[in-house]
Amino acid sequence: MAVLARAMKGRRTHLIVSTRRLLIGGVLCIAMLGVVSPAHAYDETSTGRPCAGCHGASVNDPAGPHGGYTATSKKCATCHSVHEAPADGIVLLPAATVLATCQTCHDGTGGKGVYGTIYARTSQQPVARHTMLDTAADPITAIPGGDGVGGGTRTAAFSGTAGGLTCSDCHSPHGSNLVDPFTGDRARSATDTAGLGSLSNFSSTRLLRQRPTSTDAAYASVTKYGSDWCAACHAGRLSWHELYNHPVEAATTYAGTGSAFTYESVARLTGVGASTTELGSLGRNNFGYVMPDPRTTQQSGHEPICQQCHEDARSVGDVTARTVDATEVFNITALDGAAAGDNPRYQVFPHESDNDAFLIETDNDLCLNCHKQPRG
Amino acid sequence: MGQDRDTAVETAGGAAEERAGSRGRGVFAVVLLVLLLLCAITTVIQTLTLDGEDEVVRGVIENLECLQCHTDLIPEFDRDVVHKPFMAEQCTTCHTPHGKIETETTISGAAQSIKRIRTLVEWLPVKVIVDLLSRDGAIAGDAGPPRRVTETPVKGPTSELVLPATELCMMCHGDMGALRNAAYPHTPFANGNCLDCHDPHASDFASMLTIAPESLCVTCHPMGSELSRAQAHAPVEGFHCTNCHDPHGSAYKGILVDSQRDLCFTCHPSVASLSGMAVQHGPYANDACTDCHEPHGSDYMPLLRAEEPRLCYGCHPEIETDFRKVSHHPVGTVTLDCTGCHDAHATNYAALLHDNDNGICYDCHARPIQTTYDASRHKNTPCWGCHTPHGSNWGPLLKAAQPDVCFPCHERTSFDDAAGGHKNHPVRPVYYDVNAGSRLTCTTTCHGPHGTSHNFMLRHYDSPQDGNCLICHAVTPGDRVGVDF
Repeated sequence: MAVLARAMKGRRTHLIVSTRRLLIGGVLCIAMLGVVSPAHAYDETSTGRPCAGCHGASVNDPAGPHGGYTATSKKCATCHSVHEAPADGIVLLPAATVLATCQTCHDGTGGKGVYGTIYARTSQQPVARHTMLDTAADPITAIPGGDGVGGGTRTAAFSGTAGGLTCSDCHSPHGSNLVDPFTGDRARSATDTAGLGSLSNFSSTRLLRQRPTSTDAAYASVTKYGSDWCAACHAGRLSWHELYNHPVEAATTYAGTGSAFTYESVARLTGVGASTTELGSLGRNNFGYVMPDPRTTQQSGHEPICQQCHEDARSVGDVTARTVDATEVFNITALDGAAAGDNPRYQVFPHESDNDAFLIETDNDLCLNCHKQPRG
Repeated sequence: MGQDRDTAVETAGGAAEERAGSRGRGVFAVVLLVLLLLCAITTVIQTLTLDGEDEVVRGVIENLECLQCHTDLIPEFDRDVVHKPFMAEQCTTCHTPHGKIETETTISGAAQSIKRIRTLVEWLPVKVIVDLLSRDGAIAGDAGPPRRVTETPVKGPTSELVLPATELCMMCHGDMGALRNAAYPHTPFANGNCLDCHDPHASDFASMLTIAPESLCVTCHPMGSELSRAQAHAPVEGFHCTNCHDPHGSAYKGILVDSQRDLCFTCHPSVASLSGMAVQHGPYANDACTDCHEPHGSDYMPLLRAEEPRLCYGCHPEIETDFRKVSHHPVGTVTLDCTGCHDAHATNYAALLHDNDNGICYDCHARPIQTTYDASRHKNTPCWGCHTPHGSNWGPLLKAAQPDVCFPCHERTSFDDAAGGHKNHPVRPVYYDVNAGSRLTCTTTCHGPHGTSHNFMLRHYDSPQDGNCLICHAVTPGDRVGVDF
């Protein structure tokens, strides 16, 4: 409820500042027309122009312009200009940085992008974000919990223009060496094979690399999105470490029988009010975010994966009810969770969140998803 | 009826007259034929038997006085060609007589005694008196005692020509005198040494040459080395020197009978037909065939003074420099020489090319290039818009390095990131083309400058198909150019 309230407040603020944003947007548009640079920012849901008008046949390709290349596909030119690319662009891209290049499409236009979505919808800066300045002035090179031994921060050489973290550290823009597809919450047009407006297909790789931050073979290749994928950077946050972390299940530390939980395979409630679980995806419902007490057989010996605490902010119920609150059930009505009543609301994890540390809920509300109210 | 008989009689009479006339014409024809036959037989017999003998006899008779001593010349009259003065006139036409008749008179009686006394006293001052007496005696002798006169021919000590040797022949052959002043006289002729080549009395060879014409010239102008070469000029091979050279003098260098062009055209009309063409090779236009051709013999077809392309380099040294560059047409190989592209004499096309525009290139490069090029957007650009025909430091025979060679037509800033203004796909050979396995340029993998079946003259796929990119960037693993960077 608190989340919903914040969302509503943000909506009001959004209306107040809309005039200013329009003015700024207009100036930016005029500026963009004055320079040689592809104008990729495009809201496919509002202009009425078919996506295929720019993207050709790739629009209904699950990979969009980011993979599935064949000799006769026409995707490369979506981002790269072989001739007459902007002078300050990198690798024939429309912008000077990877981040800026990605934002030519994923710029939060209409509050439906990645970075900037929360601000666009609420006029409030997100509380948490994977910061990617991707500039020479202030590259982000520190990984909190990146030290797999001491649990502290480690410094990494990312692939940003100045060595800082950027989009291509986690994502492969060319869809190469990706994790296995998983059913996530987020629905975007390019992953919707049934066509724009349908929410039937949420399974996608999200272009996540098997080896985030590095193509170095020394790093383990992660094919299943889950804790292990996060630990590629934040190794110091795993369980059974000399530092006392909240238990987290990862294949690298799992000692039980069977397979460790991954995002696509966790024990989740079988339905509203159910006390039984089934193995399924954490995505597209809130049934995996609560753990009934007592635990089910499927949960025995397992710990929660990172995403069971860190995901898009949402309301998932609590363990006391042994169920997901029917009023807080996962409920997406529009692409990108753009509808005011959507739960989760923004679908931008792990880029930004209006909860600290990308927690799905805050304070006790989070703990009570799995832990009963202490007695006494 | 009577009328009919009259008519029949007249008809019979007319037929008789006609038969008589026909018989007369036949007899006339036979007589005429017999006369012609007799004339022919007479002529042949005279030619075979009598004439030569007559000439010889006449010549001997004419010069009987000389031949008494110069008996060695008698056989000369029997040679094929006899000098006319020697044959029909007298030796003194050319020679001063140098023989004399010594006459000895034997006087009998007193006259003989007086002669002896005169001999004895010849030394005496009274010789004059004796002479007078002797004269008187001689006069008196006419009517005096009988005497006997003996004449003995005696060869004198010297013989002279009626004119100096260098001038003598001109006495009759004065019409050749002008040749002595020709720009290029034959030295023996100019010096009056006619006898270097001609026999003054008789010869077995035309023009009274001293020896056979095929041997005469080479006595001074040995041709052995020329004839031993791979190719000898046909007139030289047949020793027909005078086909080309005037043995006395000429207005043309080499004592040629005509200017080089006109002389050569005599036997080489196919070359003559080129003289009307718009572009002519300097030596050809300036009557200097021998600048390139060896007139007698050569080891290089067709009678060239040197093998190609060395021959051409003699006048075009800068071309040789071009051919030594890294990228060059394979001139000098067995398959290509300068004349593979250029006509050595004349053409209607610039630079003496065999063909116009790209046609000269298509002579060799038609199969892989012509069809696509003539259908491409480059079709109006001649081959030499990009290529230099001889040699270049930038392959393949480019006028400039890539991509610079493209920029005269294609805006540099749109294709070369080094030019500023825009970023462009690398086109400079500092990069490596993983597909072509060579230094990267515009044309190694992406574009086919001679035309392709794809838009933008792309080699492999239409734009914007990704195949154009994947050719290189789908290389895996490929941190450098692979898409998973």
